[in-house]
Amino acid sequence: MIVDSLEEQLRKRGFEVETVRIPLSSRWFELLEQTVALRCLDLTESSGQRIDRLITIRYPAYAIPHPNKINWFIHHHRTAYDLYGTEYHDMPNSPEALKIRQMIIHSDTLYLKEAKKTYTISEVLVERLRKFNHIEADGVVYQPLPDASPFHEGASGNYFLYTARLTPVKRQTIAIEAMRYTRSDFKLMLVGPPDAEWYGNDLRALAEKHGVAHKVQFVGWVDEHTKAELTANAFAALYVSYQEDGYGYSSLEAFHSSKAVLTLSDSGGTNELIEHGFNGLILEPTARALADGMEALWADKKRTIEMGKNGLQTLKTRHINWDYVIERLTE
Amino acid sequence: MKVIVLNAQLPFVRGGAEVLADSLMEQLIEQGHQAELVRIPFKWYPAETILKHLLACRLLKLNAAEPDLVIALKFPVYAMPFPNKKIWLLHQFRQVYDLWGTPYQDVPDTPEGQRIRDIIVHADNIHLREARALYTISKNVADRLKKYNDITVDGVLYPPLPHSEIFQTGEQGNYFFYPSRLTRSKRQSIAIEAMRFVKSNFKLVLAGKPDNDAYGAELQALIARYGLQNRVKMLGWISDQEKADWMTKAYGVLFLPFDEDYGYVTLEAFHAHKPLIVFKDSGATDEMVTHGVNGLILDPTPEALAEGMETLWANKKRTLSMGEAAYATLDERNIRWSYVLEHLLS
Repeated sequence: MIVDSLEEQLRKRGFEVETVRIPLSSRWFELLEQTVALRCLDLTESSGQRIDRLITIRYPAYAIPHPNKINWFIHHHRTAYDLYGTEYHDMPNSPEALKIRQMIIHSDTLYLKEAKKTYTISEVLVERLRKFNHIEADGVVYQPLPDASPFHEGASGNYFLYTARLTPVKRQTIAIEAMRYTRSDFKLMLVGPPDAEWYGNDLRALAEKHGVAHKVQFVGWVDEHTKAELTANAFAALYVSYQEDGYGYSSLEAFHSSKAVLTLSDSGGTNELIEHGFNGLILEPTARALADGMEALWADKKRTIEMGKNGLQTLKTRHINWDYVIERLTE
Repeated sequence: MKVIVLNAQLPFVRGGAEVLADSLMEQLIEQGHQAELVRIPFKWYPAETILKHLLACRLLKLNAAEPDLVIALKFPVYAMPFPNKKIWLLHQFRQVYDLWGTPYQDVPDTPEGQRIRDIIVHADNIHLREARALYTISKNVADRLKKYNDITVDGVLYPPLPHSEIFQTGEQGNYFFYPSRLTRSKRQSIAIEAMRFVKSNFKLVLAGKPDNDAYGAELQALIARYGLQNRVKMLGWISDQEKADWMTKAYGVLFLPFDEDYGYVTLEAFHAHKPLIVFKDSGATDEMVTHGVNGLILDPTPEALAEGMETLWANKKRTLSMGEAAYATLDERNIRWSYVLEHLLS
């Protein structure tokens, strides 16, 4: 998705672009030979025409040599880094795997450093590059929405909007449970298709069970235009996902629509974008804390609108727009 | 079925291989398969770069997407290992085979260059044999595999024309039509020179963009030198629909390249029920033409071409029936997607 958008935005500005997508296996014992494979590719020219710039996005694309390479770093191969030794990693604790892990870190460091510049898509990644690779990134270049144009400010409605696929990691469950504790006359609107139909049904059953079905609206999948209208007229937005790298496109959609965003302290990327009390709230990851946060905003409509406007301001101060991205990646 | 179509990628360049890969993707998706196009960059100079790209292909894996079938089209991507790999070979790396010893060789004729050639041939001998099935796009390509690698293919699958429906049969106009990129190896110059020897009242229409301005100017100068401005028309680049319209009203079609592996012009002419004139050394195109049945196979000289065009012009009825025979060739050679897919997916 980030690659498609980048290609489109570069083209729009008159660059000749070609995307190269190399298929990769993520099996730990095949990682090194793939890095060697990428190292063998020559993208300095094509059929006699010089290629002026190489922009690398994903691991291990930065292994491809180029005199004018820029990394827009979106994540490490995490099972060899921060997820190593956690339940999420697939690398065994064997001497062989450990050696491969060390070689990945070593080659990443070497090849990332070859680039003219390395930007990341979040502060968390700047920190990880510093910690694991001793690389000082050239800054954060946040990832904008592919197309922000449908999103605009509207009226302040009577619902909190949560746009995300219905799936466990997005924790719609906490949002639904929070509605048990709310007393005021606002609703929760869930926009997005379920990853699996049964999960959508589970969430409905949960709303029934807690007797909040009348306060929770399941909208399902909607087109971009409808989503923009629903966002424009929300009271505020939620993004309560669990430990994500990114801040979620729907947080940006909310800010583009001048809406405050409520998130949880363990949601990951949103914590970098949201400043508590300025453009949204960062809350303890419990249904009750979320309910209290929603009530607090509802009680002070004026302040909430103010926070929404600050959200729009955040997009500007953090340079979350394609002009800035293209400027950094092509200078 | 989950199918990966595997092609080489020359960044910023689009040619016949890309058209073929796209059409194959379209057909697979239309038939309800999940198809994904995977392209691996390729650069062939300096010569040692070829080996690095070959090694890269050998080291990469296609198992992550768990495809049921991989269809590889070109060197060096067919080196990628996969248990159920089929090859529909457009062509090998010709510089180290039939083009070795010609001006197109590229790889230097030094001990180092020869070593690189031998490695490529050796690798081909292994990688091409690994495939579950090996098809080529023409008999020409199959013959080369036999000659240089001693490999017998499982068959020839002629690539059908994408969007053949726009090529319709129509009236017999008063011109021979030659649509193709204007480039030296397509020998538009011979077609122009042939018009010097033509007595009858038909014309020559060339369509296509020059590969470089110099060759376009050279052809224009040739027309002027022989005073053929009223006999030869150069249309420049035209759209596919315009090409189809010109094809429909042509009297006959010319396709005169030097040793090509395949040419869509042949199929376009056949779909438009037109006989095709080719040269003896045109390569795969002369596989399609049977002299005197669905077209003519001539010596590559202006005089022979002029005489051939005159022969057709003198007998309109016979030319019409050759056009019908040309159309029938499509069926005789199984040039249809159902046939291609049946073999690639079986």
